[in-house]
Amino acid sequence: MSDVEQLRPQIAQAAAHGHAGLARGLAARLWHSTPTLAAAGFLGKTLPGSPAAEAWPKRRVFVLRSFTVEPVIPALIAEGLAAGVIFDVTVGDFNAYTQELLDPGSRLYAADPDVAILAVQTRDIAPELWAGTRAGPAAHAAAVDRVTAELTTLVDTFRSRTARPLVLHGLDLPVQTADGIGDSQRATGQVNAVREINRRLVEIAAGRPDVYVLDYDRLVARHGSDRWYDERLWASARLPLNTGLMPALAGEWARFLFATGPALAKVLVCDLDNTLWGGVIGEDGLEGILLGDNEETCPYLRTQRAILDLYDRGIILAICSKNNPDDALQALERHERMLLRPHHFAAMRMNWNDKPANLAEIAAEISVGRDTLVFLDDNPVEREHVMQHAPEVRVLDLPDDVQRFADVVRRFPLFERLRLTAEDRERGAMYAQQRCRDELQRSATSVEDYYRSLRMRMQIRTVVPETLARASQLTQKTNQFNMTTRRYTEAEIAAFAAAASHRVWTVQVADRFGDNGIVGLLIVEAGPEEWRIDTLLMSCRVIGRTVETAMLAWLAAQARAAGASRLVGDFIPTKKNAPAADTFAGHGFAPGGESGSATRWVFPLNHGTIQFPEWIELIDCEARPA
Amino acid sequence: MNVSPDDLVARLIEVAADVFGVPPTALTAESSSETVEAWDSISHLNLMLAVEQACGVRIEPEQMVELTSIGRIAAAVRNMPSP
Repeated sequence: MSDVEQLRPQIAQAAAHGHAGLARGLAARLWHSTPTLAAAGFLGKTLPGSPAAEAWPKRRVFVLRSFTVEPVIPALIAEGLAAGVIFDVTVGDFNAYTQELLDPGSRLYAADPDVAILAVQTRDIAPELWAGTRAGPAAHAAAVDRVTAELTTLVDTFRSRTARPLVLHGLDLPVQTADGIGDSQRATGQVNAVREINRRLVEIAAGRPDVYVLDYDRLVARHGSDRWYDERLWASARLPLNTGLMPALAGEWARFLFATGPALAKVLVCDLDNTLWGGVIGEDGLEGILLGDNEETCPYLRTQRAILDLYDRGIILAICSKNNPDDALQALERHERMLLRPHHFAAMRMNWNDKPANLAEIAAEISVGRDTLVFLDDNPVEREHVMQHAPEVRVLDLPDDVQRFADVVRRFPLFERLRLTAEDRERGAMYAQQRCRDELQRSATSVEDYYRSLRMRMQIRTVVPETLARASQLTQKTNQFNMTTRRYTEAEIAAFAAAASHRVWTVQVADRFGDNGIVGLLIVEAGPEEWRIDTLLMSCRVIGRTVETAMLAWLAAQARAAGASRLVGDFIPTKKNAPAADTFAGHGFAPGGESGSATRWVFPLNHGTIQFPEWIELIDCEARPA
Repeated sequence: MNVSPDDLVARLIEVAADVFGVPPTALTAESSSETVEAWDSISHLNLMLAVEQACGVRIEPEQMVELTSIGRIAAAVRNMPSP
């Protein structure tokens, strides 16, 4: 199986026979072992449109550019396929990014892509800072102002026309300077002028919703500018980089494309023996397993540190290991050098069952789709087995060399997150609290008794700039309790919030075990007669605690107080939102017609009320229910 | 290149088929930018880079514009020094 020569026919076969897991896993192996233009072309002609890739998510991308990028596009598509994602790429005209961004009728706006990338480089946009022209401090300072003003205009124009995410290339530091090492002695030198532009670009991006900076100079530096640039291809084809480094640029673009849509991967499921430590706990015992005292020298500790960093980024952790649970727990709880402890894991399957079955249970236990699981296991046989029998689960392609495990974990592109919300940072702790709630529920005598004992407190607030990112994230990630599953970017939510016609509220819930953070969102079109619910969603974290009843009761009271006579909501069924299907009917809404698969529900505010649950305390809201 | 002429043509057909997104059976030694629909100026650059990568050779820019058929690419690559 590991023979690269044999991978192509195997991929073609998996593609044709609809084996999604195998096709994705083998594609990743081919692409990571031989990232050539031919391999990229092979994957691009074999997987998209095949039965295996039928259900793979798609991202439509528009690349605005100042230089030739066409040979990078097959590599970009291959990066997507290796992760089970189909990139549909359009490239803007050569060096026409200014017109394309400014002209409202351009191909860019007609294409309305999911993401746009603006690929510019120093030699095109600021030639006086690239070549050693002895332009002097005044000219350098002028170039800094000109470039930042130019890019600000372009970014703002894009933002005013569309709410789609924009990825902005930072500029690359010049390789040669007119003044040699003297250049770096001055803040106004060529090099520091480019640094100043990059610093301002970060400010431009951070100050606008869904605009992100790709640190192009750092990418070049990681591979070395002497290797990166290809003057022969630049002179003949306006292609600045070496063929061998195109996958590096494609990979960096792919990270942004994965990170700007709904989260594709949420959970890392870890094996234990020979993955988190060396040896087998059941045989070698607590003293026998291998865990050095130093992260610099112990590859297993480095892997654990990489996993802990993902945990701090909001990635949920779980364990799936063939072990006696007592042996495994002993190592997790008692081994003094372990960095990862039981409280870091949202679910644990330490048993002798089949791993695909365990993975399905883990997904169910933490209420996420199986397709958001990522499987980490040193054993190639287990990996192959999971690819075959749990085709939705992504499998990390670990090398034999344990020294490289940490790197593979850190570089997995689907765990990239562009903006971390407070909820992301706290997610791990929240899952630990959830385990305590589950225990309380088991000991409660009735469901009302359980609700009361939780001592829930709810806060409903109009969205503010600080909560925009979380509000957008909830629309992107919430699949189960989501009435309409409308995905919105930060900019789109901001537009609703600014519109006189709409209201946007975030819902925060806390209980005796801790603060769940913002777990609900309401977007309402508030007409004089009718309040129409555009979005009503709730994180799976608080499903089954009557939070939706509280939200609807509060909303109905608001609508009535504003003089409206009815509250209207749509339910648009998806593959995943069955848990929300009966919500409107269950709260006294009457059927109000159907259109396609969507059903409309109407609540007459003059004739009925929705009882606010007595066990939830409404605190510090802008308005209280009547 | 140290391969037989037929092997080289077969190898180039495979590479070109990947670049153009067609099955290898759709191409022959006679296939050219005139006969292959997907062989336009953009995919030509991709093909030249793919051939460089697959055969471990370096094609000079002046030469690139002339190599518009599988046969011509094979003839040129055969005369190039392996690195």
